[in-house]
Amino acid sequence: MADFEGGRTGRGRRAAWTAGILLLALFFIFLPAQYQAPVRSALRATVMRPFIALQARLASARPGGSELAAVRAQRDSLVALLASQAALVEENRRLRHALGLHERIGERFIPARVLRVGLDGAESTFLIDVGAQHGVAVGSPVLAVGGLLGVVREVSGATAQAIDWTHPEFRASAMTDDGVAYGIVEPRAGVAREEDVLLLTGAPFHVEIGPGRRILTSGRGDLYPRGVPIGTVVGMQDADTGWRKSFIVAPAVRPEGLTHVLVGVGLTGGLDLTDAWLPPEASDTTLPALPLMVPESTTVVVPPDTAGSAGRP
Amino acid sequence: MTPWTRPWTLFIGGLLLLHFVLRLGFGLGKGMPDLLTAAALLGAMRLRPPGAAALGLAVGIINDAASFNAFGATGFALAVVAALGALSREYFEGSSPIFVLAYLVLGSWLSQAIARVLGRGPDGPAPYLLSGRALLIAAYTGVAGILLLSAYRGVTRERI
Repeated sequence: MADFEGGRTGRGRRAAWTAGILLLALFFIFLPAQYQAPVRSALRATVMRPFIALQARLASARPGGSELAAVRAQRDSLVALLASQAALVEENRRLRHALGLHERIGERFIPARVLRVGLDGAESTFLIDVGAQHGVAVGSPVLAVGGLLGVVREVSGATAQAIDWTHPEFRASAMTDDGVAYGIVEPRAGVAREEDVLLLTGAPFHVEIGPGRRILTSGRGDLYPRGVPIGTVVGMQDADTGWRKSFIVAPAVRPEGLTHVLVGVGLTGGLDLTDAWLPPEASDTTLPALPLMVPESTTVVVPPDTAGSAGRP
Repeated sequence: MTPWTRPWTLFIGGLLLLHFVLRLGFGLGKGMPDLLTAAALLGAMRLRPPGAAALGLAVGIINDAASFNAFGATGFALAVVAALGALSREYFEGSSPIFVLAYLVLGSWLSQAIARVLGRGPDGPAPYLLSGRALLIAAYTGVAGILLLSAYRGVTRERI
């Protein structure tokens, strides 16, 4: 009989078993991403499902729901106010139709509730309570009231997991709101998560981008719609060998306190949402231009109003 | 080595359940102590290294289900520290609260270090480990673990 409890043989066997288990653990790490995804999905759909469902249930019951109702009531009041100014509303409607804005945007955004993962290794990611059955796909943009929040990375039936802009792999093709400079926006980690900012890289050296200039998605690459606010320039980071400049961008949306987002579904290239986030002085109405497609069993999200001011916790 | 008993199973299982309920179910995130690591380390105190490594791997992989920053990193880290924890019991037989606290704090810090080196998280391993946050989290884990262990011992009268 094997001496498993003690002695040289027992120690050898224990060491072999331990090494085997550690090798198995390493195997999971080096498993290609396409094979990791099904394992993660299976675990989320089984072992973690009760916990995710618990958070979804609590999220719908907690005060956020009543806050949402209050904001809805405020919006309804605004609608009533605007309705009293029928002539202006009618003019706006005609102008919008004339511009073909509605046709260009299309009903391509669905509201979703944000579920916090809160586990080690899931930093800069979040779950949303819409998934493949609602039309969400890998690469769907996630927008918040203030602007761009992130992008969906993994989708299952009724949920999806997304990264926010603080994730090291987040990138977005960006431009200044005057369309003069283009570049790539990427995250820059601060000492604490609250200090994370964005960096606009690759801007041409000859272009001056002053503090306060709004940075929007450029729509290049067709991952994100054009014209979604990313943030506001607060200063220059550095000049790269005399050819390019990098600028520090204060994000339009902070991910920490968000509870509801909008997720793009079935988006095709060329979508321009610039008008949905016009600055207050340029906006012809307080009503949002971004249309919502509301799936069953989800709460209507208050759509975007103006850039920057909303969406921050 | 103290044998693995049914109450001990319930205790370790309870820690794991509490971890996922608080962090994921209630959405409290990192405001709550890392009871996953505490469960793996405390479980390892009554297991041989292979069993401890298997326990660490199992609970770590479940945790990694929500991670595409570095899938498997927590599983590997907990497997290593649990195995080392079990191995250490063959050389150190301390059962005082101070000893167990030090064991939990060191194990938690080492687990974070391994996971960070494997690339987990938005910032790199060195800034994180040097910032003091890792030590703070390890201390939080250790204190929570020792308090819950004391409660367990108070109820069951078992020695560690």
